[in-house]
Amino acid sequence: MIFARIYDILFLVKKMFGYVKVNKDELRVREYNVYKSYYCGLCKTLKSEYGYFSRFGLNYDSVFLALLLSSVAEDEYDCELERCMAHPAEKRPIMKQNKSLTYSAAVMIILDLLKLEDDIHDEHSVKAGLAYFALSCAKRKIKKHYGNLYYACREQINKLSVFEKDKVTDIDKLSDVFAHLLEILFVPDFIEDETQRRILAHIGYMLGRFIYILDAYEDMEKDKKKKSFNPFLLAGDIPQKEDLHQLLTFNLSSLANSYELLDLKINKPILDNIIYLGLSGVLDKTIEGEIKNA
Amino acid sequence: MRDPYEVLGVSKNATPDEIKSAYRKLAKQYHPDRYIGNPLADLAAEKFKEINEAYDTLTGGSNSSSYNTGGTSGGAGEFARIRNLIDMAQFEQAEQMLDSIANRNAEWFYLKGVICVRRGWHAQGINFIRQAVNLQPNNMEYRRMLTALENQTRQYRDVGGTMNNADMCNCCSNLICADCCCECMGGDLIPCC
Repeated sequence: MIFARIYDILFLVKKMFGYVKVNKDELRVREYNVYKSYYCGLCKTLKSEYGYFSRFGLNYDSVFLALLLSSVAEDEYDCELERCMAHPAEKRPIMKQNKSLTYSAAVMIILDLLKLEDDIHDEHSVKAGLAYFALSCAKRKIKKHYGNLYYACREQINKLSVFEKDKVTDIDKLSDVFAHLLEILFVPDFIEDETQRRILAHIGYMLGRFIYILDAYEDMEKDKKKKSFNPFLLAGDIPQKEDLHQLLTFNLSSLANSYELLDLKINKPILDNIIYLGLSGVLDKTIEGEIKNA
Repeated sequence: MRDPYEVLGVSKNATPDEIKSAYRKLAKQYHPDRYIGNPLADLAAEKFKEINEAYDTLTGGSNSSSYNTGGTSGGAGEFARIRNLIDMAQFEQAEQMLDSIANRNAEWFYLKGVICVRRGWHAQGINFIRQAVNLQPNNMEYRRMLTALENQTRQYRDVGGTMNNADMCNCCSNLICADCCCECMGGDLIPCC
């Protein structure tokens, strides 16, 4: 019973992201299976590295990171058929743990922890407190192995709260902070080539900016009710849908151009799908969903 | 130098037409105009050069499109220094210097715009560059930047559009249409239907 409750809570918390998805309809079955094997592989890595509870935060954004890093680092595609708790009926291909999966799992936990700390601090949320408690072991491990990364991200989040306190409404300034956070996370140590690192950093930056702005726009209604910080509401200047659409498409176009410069060894069709169809689909849907409500 | 076939992504026994179409596709993808305002423009330029060299090697001549990056127009003292800072990606310093200049002419707006765009802050950036173009409509550098930026969003959507496998559907439906037409005229294109 209590487990089910915690599951619920963690699920709610993790709604923060989930913008970076594949467009399933346009994917080949073979590619979709690879995608799923990464998803399952990440889930398994989370369990073995950070324990049972860490898995509930699993999201597609981290799967994207794993796919991308795997492609640049040229990981071997190595799967095994296994059953798991979520899918006890059939054996599924699960990607074996590798550097990219281990790193993506750590990134996911770092983002989870930051988000929870933020919720506890801002809203005194009991739910977030419980979830945070469930992740306390994971936190210790993160601080031990990825301490620098964690504190570098923490710094960005602190900057963001200062901006929020000062009631900064400049969306470029605000998203810049979050964009830097993803920029840091997109460049793991095991990728050594300087060029690839530069490109990954720019992809991370552009993605962070995209997520921040889209998220702020999508949450306007919710933030209005809860009276929480929202740059668009605070400025009293809700952007025109066409303008925002244009701006974010620009963002994605810049991201895609940088992505084309990467030296991708595997997974290219899946990544192409996410970059060109998945992200633009999410953008259209989010902004058009708003049109329907208006 | 890397194997030119590998650079263009074609097999060793590719026909000249295949090589040409592969070259065209890549040259379009990495064209410098696409990377105007992108901080990774230097990497794209390298790639563009590599593709052109590979194509020239394979076709035995200089058939590739040459591209003149058009050199920057320099400008007076302060502005030239700011341009240097932008080239070195020191945006904050460049912006500080820019903000301290009282004379806000076309060049000022242009550089302000370039800083924004290079940082990824497109909405502001485009507005500044538009202002620069309005102030000095004859400046080709400003105009080129504006057009390139406006084209970039369209290009992104174009790639997404071609990835929907519409071509395959079209191909089948075209065949069926052709078959129907043939049958109307008394012939038959696809005998089984």
